[in-house]
Amino acid sequence: MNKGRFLAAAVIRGIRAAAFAAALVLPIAAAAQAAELTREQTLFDSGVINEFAKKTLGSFSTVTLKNGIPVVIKRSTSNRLLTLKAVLTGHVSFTPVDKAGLEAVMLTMLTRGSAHYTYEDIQRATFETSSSLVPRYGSYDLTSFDLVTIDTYFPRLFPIYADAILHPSWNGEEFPRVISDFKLQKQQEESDPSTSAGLRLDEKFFAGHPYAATWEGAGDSLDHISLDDLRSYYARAVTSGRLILIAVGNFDPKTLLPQLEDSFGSLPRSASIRPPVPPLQGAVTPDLMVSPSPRSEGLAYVKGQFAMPAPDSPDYPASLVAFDLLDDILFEILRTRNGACYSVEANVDGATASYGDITVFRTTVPGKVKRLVDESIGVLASGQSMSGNVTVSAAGKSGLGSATAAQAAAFVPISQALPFYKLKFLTRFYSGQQTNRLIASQIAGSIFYHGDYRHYLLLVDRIGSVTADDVVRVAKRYLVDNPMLWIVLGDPALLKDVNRDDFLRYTGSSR
Amino acid sequence: MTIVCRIFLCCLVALLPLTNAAAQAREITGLKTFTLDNGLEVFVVENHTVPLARIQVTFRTGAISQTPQTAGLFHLYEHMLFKGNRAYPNQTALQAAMKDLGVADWNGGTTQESVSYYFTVPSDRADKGIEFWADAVQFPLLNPAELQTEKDVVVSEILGGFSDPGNIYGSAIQRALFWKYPWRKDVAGSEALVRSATVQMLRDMRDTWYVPNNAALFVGGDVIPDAVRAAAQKYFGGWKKAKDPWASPPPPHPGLQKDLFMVSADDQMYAGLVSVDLRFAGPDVLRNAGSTYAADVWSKLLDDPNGRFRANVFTKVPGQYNKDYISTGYLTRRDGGAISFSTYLTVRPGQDTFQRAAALKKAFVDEMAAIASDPAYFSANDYQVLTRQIADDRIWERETADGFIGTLAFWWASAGTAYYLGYNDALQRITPAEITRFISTYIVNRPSMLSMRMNQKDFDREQGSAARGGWTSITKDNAYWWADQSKGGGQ
Repeated sequence: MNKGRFLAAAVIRGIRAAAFAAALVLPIAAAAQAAELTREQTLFDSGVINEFAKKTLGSFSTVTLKNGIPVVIKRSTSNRLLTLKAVLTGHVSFTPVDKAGLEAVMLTMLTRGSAHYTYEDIQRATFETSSSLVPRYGSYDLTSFDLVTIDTYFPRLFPIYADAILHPSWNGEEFPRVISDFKLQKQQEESDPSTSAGLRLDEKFFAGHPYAATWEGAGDSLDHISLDDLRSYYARAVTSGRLILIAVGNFDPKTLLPQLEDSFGSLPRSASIRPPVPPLQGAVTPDLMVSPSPRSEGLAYVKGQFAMPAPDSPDYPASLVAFDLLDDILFEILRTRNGACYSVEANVDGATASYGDITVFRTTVPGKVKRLVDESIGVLASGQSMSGNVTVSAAGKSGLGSATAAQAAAFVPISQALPFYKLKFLTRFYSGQQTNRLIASQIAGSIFYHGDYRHYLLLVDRIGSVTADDVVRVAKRYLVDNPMLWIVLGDPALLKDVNRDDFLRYTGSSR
Repeated sequence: MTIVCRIFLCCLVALLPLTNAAAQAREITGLKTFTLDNGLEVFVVENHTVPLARIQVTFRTGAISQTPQTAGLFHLYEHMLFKGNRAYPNQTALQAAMKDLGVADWNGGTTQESVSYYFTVPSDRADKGIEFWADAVQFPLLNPAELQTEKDVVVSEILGGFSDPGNIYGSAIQRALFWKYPWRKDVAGSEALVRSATVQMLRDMRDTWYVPNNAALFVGGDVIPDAVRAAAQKYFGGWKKAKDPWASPPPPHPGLQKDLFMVSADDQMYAGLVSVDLRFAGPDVLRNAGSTYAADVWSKLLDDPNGRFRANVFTKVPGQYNKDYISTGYLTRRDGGAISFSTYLTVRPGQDTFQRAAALKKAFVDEMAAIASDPAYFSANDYQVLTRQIADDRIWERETADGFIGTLAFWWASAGTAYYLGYNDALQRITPAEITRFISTYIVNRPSMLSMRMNQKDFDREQGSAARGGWTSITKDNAYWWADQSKGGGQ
């Protein structure tokens, strides 16, 4: 990290009050304890970034509270909704497997009352203002406690929000209900064929890894979480060393920052050392789990999981593109050409220990789908992808072309299709900039995975630099030559046709 | 403004014709509406936050238009629109075209009262995007070979529902509540009906329901209304107006004829917990539009987590799981509305769950009677909060162009443009007397359906009570109206 640049960025843009600004400039040693915020400063200074990023940079303010908590404010006037996000870094790496779900339960309990506001007070305030206090814990690496409200209600809601995080009352009456809700949710997911397939796969895939301590609870971990556990965990977990504050909306930093300093700034300064989270590469053994599910009458669910590169890996952008291409090929081959399933998708789950998955949802032919999946991967690994060029596949309105011809022309060299997929990424990127909640989440991920709150703005550039060769390279590395763990869950009658050998190896032709 | 003043003013305003309210509301910032000569309604939502445009075409049809012979076919038709048209001969070509447009996410959806198709494109391709959907909705190929392939996909959706006890439970409720015309609520239909679909049936549907005067085009985001108007005219203007498919509205759902008690048991339901659901026939827009506003106000007022209603119901019947999970609801429907009350009971050893459910029903109805007889049941503050919430809803729904279009499309399909544009004003005008009238008309002393979903083991312990109490067991065999179609459905 370039400490000099970090300090420069720590001065809030647009703040005129010199005395206040001076208080925000920290000694280097203190700043070093906080999360890194400006790792890509050189790149942003160079100006070799996309136009949207350039235009957006001026809307940010960053500051570090006196106890080292970094604050990022992104001003946006596109609507009247505000998001204030208190991010806790590390998540499941801090919770032991036998207490899996601890942080999620703790965050949920923050909504159930605080020193100055009862649960009823909180409910009344959020109901009357169409606002919400939201615990977010659906990620292995980050959790957050969010306030989402309308601008005019912020003065009423902020004290409630801050008190909820900083002075929880550990409402003993509500605790059994919260635990019960978690248990019921888990029970529900375990009884649904589709989600239970994913849970069983995760259980084996992450065995022995910190990610085994999933937020939904692992095994009977929820039975072992007590109110005392929450109190002691809270004291260790909600610390200045783990916190990042992100505000997105039409905030006035002059008003907001003193409020944050008076509340979150009162936490003692602390450092946070995250327990190690090893990558999954090398930890996956090819295997197939076959799970009969009598209630899945006439249907089966198939899912494979495997290691992928971390978000800061050079392979990561190409992986995102490759999986996007694969997604369409899978749809074409499994659904359009073979009617083999209702839906199919390929995902990269970017995390400290990234992984990928291929999911075939509701198939009537589970015995066939692995070969069809591999056929799809083979198309990609051989340098082909779905066409994005309508002049290739459409005959135009003057006369209908042959459907067969259009299908034959469906696959084209990746280099021809890549511009269309990059455009698609651009659309998706902009879609993610439409709400303050989404932007706040992207800023959190940018800081945690890339050490720079602006990193998400560079996705367009990173995707833009991906080549067809990059795509083929990552396809071979992470899809063809990568061990995968599979599960087939479904109607026992259909499982008889599943050939185990198909799932233990890549059956496609192109390598 | 106090509630008294507000109501007085509202009474005066209520005398004005709806078109005035609609005209005022048409000034909603960033929303422009116009209608082509062929009847196609066009909505333009300006939101220049990002350089994207959302384009959606919605038809005022869906399960609502089905007959016993076509149930499930509107869903199948939705799929078939992605299987090729005059511009793009098959799904492969269609998807290539979408990639060419920079589409990230696309989809179609069939509901009880609407069928929609949408995607988001870079705003500089909005014109092309409008052209894309114009070709798709006006000139679908409905290719016989593609139809056969797509039937398998649609059937896999139907089969998926069979393995979901929640789906079975919900289907049984719909069937019982809308017993005379259950197919008008059943989007999925049956495998047999889908398998029996022919190209000619789909063409007939196209010519009847998928016509410009039964459709709306929604374009939102970084767009210019005049440009959208020109593109709409250019690509949709030649679409020939057809006979109004709603000229003869369907016969009304007759409502429940007697009290019903139904129970569903399965091993996916939480052990030790019982979902209790009470349903009444409610108003719909086709017949009782005025009451639908009162229904929404009623529902919003009861939503207060610390309000008198929830507290009283929770206290009167011990052993409910959580006061926060008490809910009441009314969803505005064009055809066949339903009023709902739901909560969870914990199973208590030695206590008859079925009798406790009946006690819950009584507690709910008693509370409704209390509201109807006491104009001061809801305080002035309750009404002030309601007023704020109605205004807040507009802020939330306007957060993104996509979200706003979703909202607009829902209201357009189920209630119509004028209804939506005058909606907030209409809610503000609802008086306690109208809420009393709504409760008296639809809830108190009206037949209802009380249903429970419980874990199989819990049920097994109490099935004697179920039989004694006259509860009907829901099964896969009796949940779906089409299972005994030869009998014509019925209660």
